[in-house]
Amino acid sequence: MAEERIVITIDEEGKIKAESSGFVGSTCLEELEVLLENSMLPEKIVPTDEYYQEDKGKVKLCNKKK
Amino acid sequence: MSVVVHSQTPFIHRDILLEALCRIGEDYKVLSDGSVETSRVDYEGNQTFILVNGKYVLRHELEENTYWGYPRKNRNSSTRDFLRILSVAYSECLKEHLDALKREQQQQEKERLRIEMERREQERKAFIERQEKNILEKAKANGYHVTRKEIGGKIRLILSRTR
Repeated sequence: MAEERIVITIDEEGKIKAESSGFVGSTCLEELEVLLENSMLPEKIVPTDEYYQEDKGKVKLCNKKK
Repeated sequence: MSVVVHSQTPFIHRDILLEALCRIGEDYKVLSDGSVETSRVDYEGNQTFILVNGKYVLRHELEENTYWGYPRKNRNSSTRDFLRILSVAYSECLKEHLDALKREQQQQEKERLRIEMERREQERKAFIERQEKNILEKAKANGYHVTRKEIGGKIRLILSRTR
């Protein structure tokens, strides 16, 4: 069983940084959108080397920073 | 030949004038019309400050350098001497008042800034708490286990679940 993990850091100004791991494909972004909608307007999204991981035949986005 | 002329100190503020009179030890009485009667006496009676064109002017006999009607009663002898001494005291009192006002203003400004900073800090904390609460609620609703840590003023929420 794979563990999906999201580390969310809220700094002193209330800015949020979120790092996800263990997700397949674009589900990481979708999951973050669910969790952080209304809380976060992404300033930037940094793709990772696992960003283009295949998920059941599709090419999708994924997580983990370089 | 050129000349430099200095005017007398204008006694604009009655409260300062009263304080200055007090300071030089001159007894006075505030009359019903607002004028200030001193204990100094000349041939026309008590010398009195009356308001003329926005400043208090001492009503007195016009001979500047003579001793007035009852010299023993007039502590500062001539009116000119009296006004000179009073002017110095008036200027001192006025300066003290202005300094006190300035200090009060600075204190009030300091207090205003403190309140403003406190308000901003409360808003900041409330915002962060709201952020955290929203995330926690959604994380739990989506089946995440949440661990919370505070590191160097930052809040770290570790969300995990197994699939």
